[in-house]
Amino acid sequence: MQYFNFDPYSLPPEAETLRREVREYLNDELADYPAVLRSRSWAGLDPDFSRKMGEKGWIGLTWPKKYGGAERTFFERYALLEELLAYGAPVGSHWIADRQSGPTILRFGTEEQCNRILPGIIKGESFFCIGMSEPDSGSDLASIRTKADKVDGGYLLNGTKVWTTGAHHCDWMIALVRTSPPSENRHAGMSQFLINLKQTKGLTIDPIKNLAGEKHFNMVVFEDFFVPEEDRIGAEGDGWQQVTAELAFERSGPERYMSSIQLLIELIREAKLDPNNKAQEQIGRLIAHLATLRRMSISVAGKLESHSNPALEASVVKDLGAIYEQDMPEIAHRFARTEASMTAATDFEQVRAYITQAAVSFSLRGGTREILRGIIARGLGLR
Amino acid sequence: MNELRQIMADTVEKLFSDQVTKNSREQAEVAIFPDELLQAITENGLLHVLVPENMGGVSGQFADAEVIARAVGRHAVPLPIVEQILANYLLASAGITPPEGITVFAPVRDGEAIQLKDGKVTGTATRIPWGRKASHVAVITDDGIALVKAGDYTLTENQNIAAEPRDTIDFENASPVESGELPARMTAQSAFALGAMMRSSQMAGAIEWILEASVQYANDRVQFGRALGKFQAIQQNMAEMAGHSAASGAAALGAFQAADMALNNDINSTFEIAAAKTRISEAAGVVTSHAHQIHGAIGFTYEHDLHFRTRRLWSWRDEFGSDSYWADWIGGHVLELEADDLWPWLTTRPT
Repeated sequence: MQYFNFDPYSLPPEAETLRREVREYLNDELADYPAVLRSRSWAGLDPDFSRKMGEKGWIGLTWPKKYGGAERTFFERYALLEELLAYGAPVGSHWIADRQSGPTILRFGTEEQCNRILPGIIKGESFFCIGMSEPDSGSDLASIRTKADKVDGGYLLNGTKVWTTGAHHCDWMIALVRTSPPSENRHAGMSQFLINLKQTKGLTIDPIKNLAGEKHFNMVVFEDFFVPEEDRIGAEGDGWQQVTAELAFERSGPERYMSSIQLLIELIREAKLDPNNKAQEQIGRLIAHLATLRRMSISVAGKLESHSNPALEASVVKDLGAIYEQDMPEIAHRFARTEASMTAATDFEQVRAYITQAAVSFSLRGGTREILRGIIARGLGLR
Repeated sequence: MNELRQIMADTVEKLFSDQVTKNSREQAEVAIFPDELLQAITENGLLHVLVPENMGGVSGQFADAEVIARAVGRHAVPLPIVEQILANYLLASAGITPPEGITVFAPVRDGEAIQLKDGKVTGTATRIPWGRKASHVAVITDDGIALVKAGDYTLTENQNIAAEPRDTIDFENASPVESGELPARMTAQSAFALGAMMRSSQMAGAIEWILEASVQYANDRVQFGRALGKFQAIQQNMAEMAGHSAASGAAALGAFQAADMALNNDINSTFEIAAAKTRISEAAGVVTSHAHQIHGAIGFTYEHDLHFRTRRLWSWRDEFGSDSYWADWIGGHVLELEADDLWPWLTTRPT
């Protein structure tokens, strides 16, 4: 009985060519970029860097040329993402647009929406956030209450979205809201909308400080916020099916096991100074996991490339990957000879301080461990 | 999976499903082995999968052998199969045509040495899988490989946790039937690593079986008026097992594919083997623990099938280098790199 399919893939030569090109560029561009900033990984924000990525043609890499994309393969995109993450490049501004918002518009949006929105994403000028969670709807996404009432020419939105990473820097949100009241079928009556965050009437965005003192995520309140008809994505009532597809994109990339890699690199640097080689075996275990996760993640990229549904396998990789990312600060702690601090004298202790704090979110964002395991259990035929 | 490999997978699956029974596994634990099955496997050419056609083999790839090793693990086949595949492969690599009968493989572990001097083999090889069943032993010496006939050495019986034979063999000026040099790319350690590679795949197979059996049990067993599998606590543990199973399968296949690439390219597949053995040996601990938890007391009985796989996993994770051994090997290699070269190095490895 084969529950999952992790067929092996080798990255094609063109992916390795792009990898070398990206690596060379980043070596130059990020030569003096401090380790502690690298450790922010895909949460690191730098709109200028994103614009440069756009100039290189490295956003929307797989998208159609008619919108400015490069029509390159998911394997090339995979290699690009790996290199960006391995360097800890500040990709956070455009990451969500590139990973899931653009693909959602491409798949379910109108030609007009594609023409209007995608070129800006590709140039690294138009940034997106995710409007899914609400104060009373976290893992139970189908219980959302934000609603859109039909009015002349569009809809009026009322409700609150929360944990919207980057809303205060972004141009757009794709929001999942109710267009019909809840019914017997919990997954019915929802729709997705493009929310223009530059339109201030009826919109309040309040940053929420996280435990590390960063202001990444927000509370976004809609009060009679007007959305024109042409900004609904897909048909009314198709929101759940679309958001499920969007989540498969959200969970499918190498950032689901590479978020802590800067700490692994610093741990190796630190271990090389220890004449007793105390961390050697543990580092070997981490590398064994890394190589295995990479193989599995590339297999998920292969699914995207062959247009098969990656949702189940992506959930497996994300669950294993988050545990891996979270083990990293625990293991680094075991071998630390000094104290972690954001103001420590060494990169190792600064990076350790940051990732120790950030890591707790890794099994929450993009679907909690419990939700992912529920999906996997369904794949096993238990639910 | 290509067509040939699929056919082989189907053949092996059918053979083992039909002929490896609970009774045969139990009998093997008291040293009564299913020799008829071994005969059938031999006649199918499965043991010569890695031997070139001009030596009577199949000229298969390591990835073909993986299919067999996985099935051996899934079905807990109580016979020297992967050991014979390896012995035949190593002999053929040294230009020696594998003999009739059962030939098993004696690796050399760190700190052991078997000498071939003036045409005589001397030294002690420990924990040789299925040593007592062999009509010949292919032993790795300081000079290559030597084929020694049963009776020309002293054998002391020993076993692993799963009661599989793991014997000690003393060679004292034994005259090999034949001896030869291994190809330049092969060392005593790389031969040992091939054993780790086989065990990795066997473990992945055993883990697959355990996952399926656990899902089945969770759907069948009713408590508090519901199937166990309907309880979220159970689902969470089963999902965790499933993740380890998926990772194990991916890592095992990766090791065999890397070994195939090593034959044709200038790469050394020891890293992929080490990573697989480390990753899967870790998985074995989690999977056996969850499997026994869900099966409850019935899974702790000798009567139930579960232990044929879990006891093998507890043995196999130790054999041909434990996760500690191989993790330390990987760590030693990585610590020779500059920290910033970790990623550039990893991306040169085959996937």
